[in-house]
Amino acid sequence: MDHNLLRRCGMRFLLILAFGFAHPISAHAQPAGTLSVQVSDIADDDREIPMNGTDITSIPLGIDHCRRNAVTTIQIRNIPREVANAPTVLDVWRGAITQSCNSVAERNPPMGMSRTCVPLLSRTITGAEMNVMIPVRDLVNCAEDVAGERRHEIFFLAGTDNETVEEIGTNWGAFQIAIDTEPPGAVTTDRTNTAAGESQITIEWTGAPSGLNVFHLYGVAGACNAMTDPYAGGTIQIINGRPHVCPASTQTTDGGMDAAIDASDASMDMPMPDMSDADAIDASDASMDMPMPDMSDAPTAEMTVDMPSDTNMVDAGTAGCVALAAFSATAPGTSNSYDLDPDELGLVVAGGAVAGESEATIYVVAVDQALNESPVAVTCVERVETMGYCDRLAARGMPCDNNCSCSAPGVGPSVSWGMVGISVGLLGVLFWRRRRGR
Amino acid sequence: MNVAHSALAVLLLAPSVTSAQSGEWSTIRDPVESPERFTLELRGGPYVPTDSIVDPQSGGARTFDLSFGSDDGPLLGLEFDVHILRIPYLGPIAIGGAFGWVRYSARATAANGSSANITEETSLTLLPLSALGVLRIDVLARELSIPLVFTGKLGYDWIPWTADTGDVTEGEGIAHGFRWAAQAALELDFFEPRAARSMDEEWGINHSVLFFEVYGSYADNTSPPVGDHFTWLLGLGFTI
Repeated sequence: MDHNLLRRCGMRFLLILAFGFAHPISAHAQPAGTLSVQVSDIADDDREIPMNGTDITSIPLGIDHCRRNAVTTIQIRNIPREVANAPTVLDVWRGAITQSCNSVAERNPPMGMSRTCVPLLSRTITGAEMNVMIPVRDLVNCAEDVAGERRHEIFFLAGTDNETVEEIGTNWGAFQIAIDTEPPGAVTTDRTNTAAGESQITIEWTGAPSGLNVFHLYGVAGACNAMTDPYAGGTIQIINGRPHVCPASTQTTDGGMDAAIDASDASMDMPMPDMSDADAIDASDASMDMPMPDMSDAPTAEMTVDMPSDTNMVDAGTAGCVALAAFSATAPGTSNSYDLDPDELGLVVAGGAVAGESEATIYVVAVDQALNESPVAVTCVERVETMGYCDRLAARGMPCDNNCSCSAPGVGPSVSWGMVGISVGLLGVLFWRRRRGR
Repeated sequence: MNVAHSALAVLLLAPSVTSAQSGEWSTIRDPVESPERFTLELRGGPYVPTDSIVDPQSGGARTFDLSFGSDDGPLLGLEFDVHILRIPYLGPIAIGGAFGWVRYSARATAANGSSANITEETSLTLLPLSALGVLRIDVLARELSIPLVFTGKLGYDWIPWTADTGDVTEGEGIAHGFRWAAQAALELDFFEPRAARSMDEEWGINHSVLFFEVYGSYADNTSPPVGDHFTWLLGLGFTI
């Protein structure tokens, strides 16, 4: 199965986020904004991410969302129009979860060092409702090298002038979003004992962290030695649309972000002064280099970086990678085993009449809620002929059979008819009693 | 005011108190026990097919034991009897039906006898169905207040079975054969007669019993034979 399909197929995710009159952010008490923010199709994600009011942080975005730079669509409503000094510009800012980017003071702190509100883009207001499309790398800070989950609040400010100096009153809206680029730890598989079976081979693992989304299993047929497998602790990468397993040497130790980000391509993602009347911002334009208005002393200004596409990743890291197209499967995040059908890997019975591979290497990857993938754990499987209960009976000349003349002495059809007679007799007694009772 | 209320209350209540004292206490009769029509039994116990097929190469061990070791179930089941006739000073005759479930499983072994780490499971699942004629002797409990009930059963078993190894069904069928059972039951009413009476009034449960039953099934006309010629079970029964 195509690896991308595992992530992207299925029901398209739709989020409806009603917001406006009751902004729930309690960390910083402030008047509620009046703009209604509705988020739909967040990062092309097919997961049903639970939300609570304007909080959609319960399942964070992950490294794969950053890698694909998927686009999130947001609809802004209740933009004031037909009033004196009506807003003409919609600015989008990203702040920390405890920061109120709707205030000028937060957007322009006296000391630039404390500035954490980041301008993302600016749009000319075209009506009371607008759609804004924001790439994930703008929506969250993909490049920030911090372990664990981080949360951001995205502000939509409706103003008439430069967004950095203007008070916008209550003409704003916001929602919260989270990112977690730290992969879960690898599970532990049995690398010394090859799991074997004829029609079903159970692959087991331990040490899975809690709160996982799924496990992905990949396999490649051929002689297997899990103890010396060079890909233990490596990563799964999608190369030319196919999953490949790559050695651990291509994996960084800080969560894999560095491996995926080419810092030399870093560009400053600045607010766009005028996007004309276009309703949608093309993701490819989102990293347009723009002059930064009055941000010379802002060391925390976001550095978004161009991550390599799948094609680039092929160029960067195919050395030593092996295609795993032969088999892939998904197990629930709460499971600790998977029953493999050897036919899925095309395995033949060892020593049998049919020529082919009887062994395979299996790679198990834990996937967390943010769809980050753990390093791979390796185990071996082998298809061998097994002996079950019916095989034992057959070996004694009594194959499993529904029509066997192996009744115990004195028991058989005659008893059947006898029991039918007893039953009829009992029913007769029953009817006799009822008639007598009348 | 309070005195006036008290006096009024005494006047109003006086006739009923007098009436009660004049004989209603003595006219209260024991509640009538509801009729006994059915018996429901929840049961469980070991069940191992009396498989006489042995493997000479394994010291004469039975193929069942070689496959499933000491797995003896348990068999879990339910029986429902309908009382059709009561023999005075003996007990009810009933007809009934029962069904159960038991599954045996173990790791399969490598056919070549190697010590490969076989993860595949081999299993045998039985779903015994029974038609029964039942004679329940409750004269001790009813006439002598000794809380023991003895039951004999004769019937016929149909036992659908399925044998699987891995995800392959290697065999299935329906074995059938004669069945017998003898049961001794302890009525629990005497532990808490009031509670027993309350259960009868509210739920229609006349008696509840703990029972021990020995029985045998000769459903052996398939390969594998799946009858257990002699085994036992424990259960909880209700006469309704």
